[in-house]
Amino acid sequence: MISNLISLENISLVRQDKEIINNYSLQINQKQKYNIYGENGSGKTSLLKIIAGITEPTKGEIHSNPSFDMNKDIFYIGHKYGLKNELTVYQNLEYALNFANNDDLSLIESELEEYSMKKYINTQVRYLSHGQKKIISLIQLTLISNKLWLLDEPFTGLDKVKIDLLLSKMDKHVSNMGSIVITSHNVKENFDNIKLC
Amino acid sequence: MLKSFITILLREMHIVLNTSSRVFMPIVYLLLIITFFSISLEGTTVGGYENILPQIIWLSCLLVSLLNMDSLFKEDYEDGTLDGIVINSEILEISLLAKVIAHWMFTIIPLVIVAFSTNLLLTAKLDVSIILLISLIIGTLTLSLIGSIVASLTLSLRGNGLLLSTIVLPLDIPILIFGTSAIYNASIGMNYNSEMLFLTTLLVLFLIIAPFAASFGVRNSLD
Repeated sequence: MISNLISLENISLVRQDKEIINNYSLQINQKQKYNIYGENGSGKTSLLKIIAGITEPTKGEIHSNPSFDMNKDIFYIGHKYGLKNELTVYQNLEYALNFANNDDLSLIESELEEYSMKKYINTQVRYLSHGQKKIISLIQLTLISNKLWLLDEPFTGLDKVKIDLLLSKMDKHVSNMGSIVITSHNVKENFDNIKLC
Repeated sequence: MLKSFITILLREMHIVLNTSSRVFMPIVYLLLIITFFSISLEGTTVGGYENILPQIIWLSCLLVSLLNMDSLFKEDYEDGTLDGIVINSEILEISLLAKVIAHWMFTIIPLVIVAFSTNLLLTAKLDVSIILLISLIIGTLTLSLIGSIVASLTLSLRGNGLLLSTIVLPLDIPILIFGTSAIYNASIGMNYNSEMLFLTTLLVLFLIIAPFAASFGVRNSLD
């Protein structure tokens, strides 16, 4: 049975006297992939941050399913990578696993292998390119496997091979009862596309 | 909860191990300040400048620890790891307290050890040096906790380092006064218990207040 994870009801967000989101409602269900798309400045990132709990809406309510823990079951990747430049790839992923109370460090090597990043395992993140940092950031998703993935423009900076790999990871996550909300500038295939004006 | 506390401590330790300048630069600044004070005061102070050296060292530690204060949350804010801490922490206050304690342990404690050693070398007074060490341990942790509150509130501001120092300095004055008074009393053989008790009370007070205040500041800054 598919259940509702989070409900956003009549959400509005005003910043510096400008209405960024106006009376918006959204239900995020299990086993669903959502793509919130729109032009620059339409409030996509702000909406994602509201769902993540980083930003408080000016008006409206957010309800979550009692079986859904807003601290443990969400994984958010914004425009920044969420990686420490001074640490190696392995140390960053190890930290992410430990913080999520997951001790299975063997997953790190296998995931890096899949993304052809294993040779960078002991490289400090500061020496990686933007695209490589993005990949390491996204590898955290499959390592930690929280129920709801919130990803702000996840495909930016990736080549076609990595995009296809990421899409297959997303499909696998959804088939394992997970949910995904991404933002982008246009419609995506196999996603529930929601335009934010 | 304890696991996330330890995870953050270990992460900060690895960061410090991978970037040794975080530990050595404050120590270099401390030694430079002490050296310049010594050069300028030698022969000009009645009774010898050794009598005021522990106070100079205390003040130098305060000033140098202020230099590092804006990096407490700033780097995590800029690289996006602070988002993860806010979203995924079971208790955000504990995670932020872990960050403050890690910052204090790995960047301030080496400073305190060098301060103790320098005072002992230059004055050869073990009893005063020990009081200096204890008062610095208590005082610098309190300073870090106070700094965490202001750092969290000024996170999203550009060039917040100067603003942070301007706001934190007046709040540090009571700690400076009681820290240096304790050392002075110890050096003249008087009782220093009340000063140490006051410092400890301030520490306990800010141990309770600072995580909640920093949590409020961080959430507002990320919003």
